[in-house]
Amino acid sequence: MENQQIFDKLNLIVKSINGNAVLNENTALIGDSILDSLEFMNYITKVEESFEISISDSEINRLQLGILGNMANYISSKTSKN
Amino acid sequence: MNYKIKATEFYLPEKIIDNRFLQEKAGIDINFLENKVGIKKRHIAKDEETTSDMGTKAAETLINKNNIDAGSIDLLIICTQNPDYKLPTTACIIQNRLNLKPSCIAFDVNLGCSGFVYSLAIAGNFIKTGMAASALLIMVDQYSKLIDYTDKNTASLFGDAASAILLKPCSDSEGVIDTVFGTDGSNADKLIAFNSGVKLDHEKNKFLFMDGREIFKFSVQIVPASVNELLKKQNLKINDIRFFIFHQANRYILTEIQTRLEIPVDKMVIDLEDYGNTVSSTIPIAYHNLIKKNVLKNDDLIIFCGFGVGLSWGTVLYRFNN
Repeated sequence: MENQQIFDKLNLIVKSINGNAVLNENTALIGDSILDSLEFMNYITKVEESFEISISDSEINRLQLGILGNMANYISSKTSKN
Repeated sequence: MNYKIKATEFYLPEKIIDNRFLQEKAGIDINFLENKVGIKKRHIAKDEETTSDMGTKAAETLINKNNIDAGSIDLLIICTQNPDYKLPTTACIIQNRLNLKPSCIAFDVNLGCSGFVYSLAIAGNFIKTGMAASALLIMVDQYSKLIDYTDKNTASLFGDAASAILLKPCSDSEGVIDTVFGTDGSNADKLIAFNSGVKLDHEKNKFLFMDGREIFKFSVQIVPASVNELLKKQNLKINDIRFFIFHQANRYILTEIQTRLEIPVDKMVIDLEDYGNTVSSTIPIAYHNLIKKNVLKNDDLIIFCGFGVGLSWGTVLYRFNN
C-alpha cells in the first residue's frame, strides 16, 4: 500500500472520531488537541483493526506514532514486511 | 421452570469524591470527566465501612421495601473482590447479619465487572434444578480501597456500591432466556491488583493497575461479538431488543460499543453519572433505575452484558415480565 493511501485511510479513521479534524502529515493527534486520551485509544484500536496489525505502547512512544506521518511510515514498513 | 429478577435495591456510601477533587489530586480535566468519561461523582466507603456493612444495608433495604420473609431465602451469593476477610466468605457473615436460615446455601463469587451476569446464571441454575426457590444476590465492592487517587488511569472511574437482587422461579417464557459467557486469562495482567493475594511482587505496588488501551480494545471488541453471538443464537436483531444494559465502564466506551452495534440511542442505557463504575453493581443499578422510570413493558427484551477483570465477560437475554 502506498504511503498516500495509508495517510488517506488514517485521515478517515481520525475523522470518524473527530469529524472537525483538519489534518496533515505533521499533525500530532494529542499534542495538537485533535484527540483526547480516550479518543486516541480508540484511534489506535481502529488503526490496528483496519490495517490488521498490532501496535505496542512502547512503539507508540518511541516512534511518536501520534504524529500522522510517523504512523503512515510505520504502517507502510510493517505491511510491506507481510 | 425458569428464573427472573423479582426485586432490586442498592446502597451507596455517604462519602463522595467529586471531579474537583480529582482535578486537584490527579490533574484530570473536569470537562473531560463530565463529558467524555461521563462521571460527575462517585460514592466511596469510609475506612471503617466494610464490604459486609454495605452488602447488608442493600439487602436490608430490599427485604424491608418488598416485605420479603428473610427465612424464605434458600441461596445467598455475594459477588465481591474486596471481601471483609480472605476467610471466611463475606456470604457467611451476611447470612448471619440478615438472620437467614441455617439451611441457606451461602458463598462468595470472586468476579468484578462481569460478576452480575455470572452470579445471575449461577443462582438461576440452583432455581432451575429445584435446589433453591428464592435466591438473594448481593453485588458489593470497594475498589476505592485499591485505588491510588493520583493514578490518572484509574482514579476517576470507580465508585463503591452494593446492590441486592431477589431471584424467583417463573415460567419458561420470561426471565433469563439465554446466556453466553467467555474468559481470556491470557490478559489477566491488564487489570490487576498486584500484591493483593498470596503472590508477592516487590517491584509492584498494591494499587489497582489498568492497561487502559488493552481494556478499551477488549471492551469495544468483545462486547459487540458477545452480543451478536447471543442475538444470532436466538435469531434476533438489534431492533428486537428494547434496552441494552451493559456494564457501565465509562461513557466513551459505551458510546463506541453502541456505534459498533448500531444500537439506537433510545435503546442504550447509560447511567453512571452519579455513581461511576461500581463494578458488579453497575447493571443492577441501571436496571433498578430503569424499572423506577416505568419504561419497561411486559415481554420487553433486555440484553445485559458484563465485562472486565479476568478478562471475563457474559451476556444475558432477559424477557421482562412484572
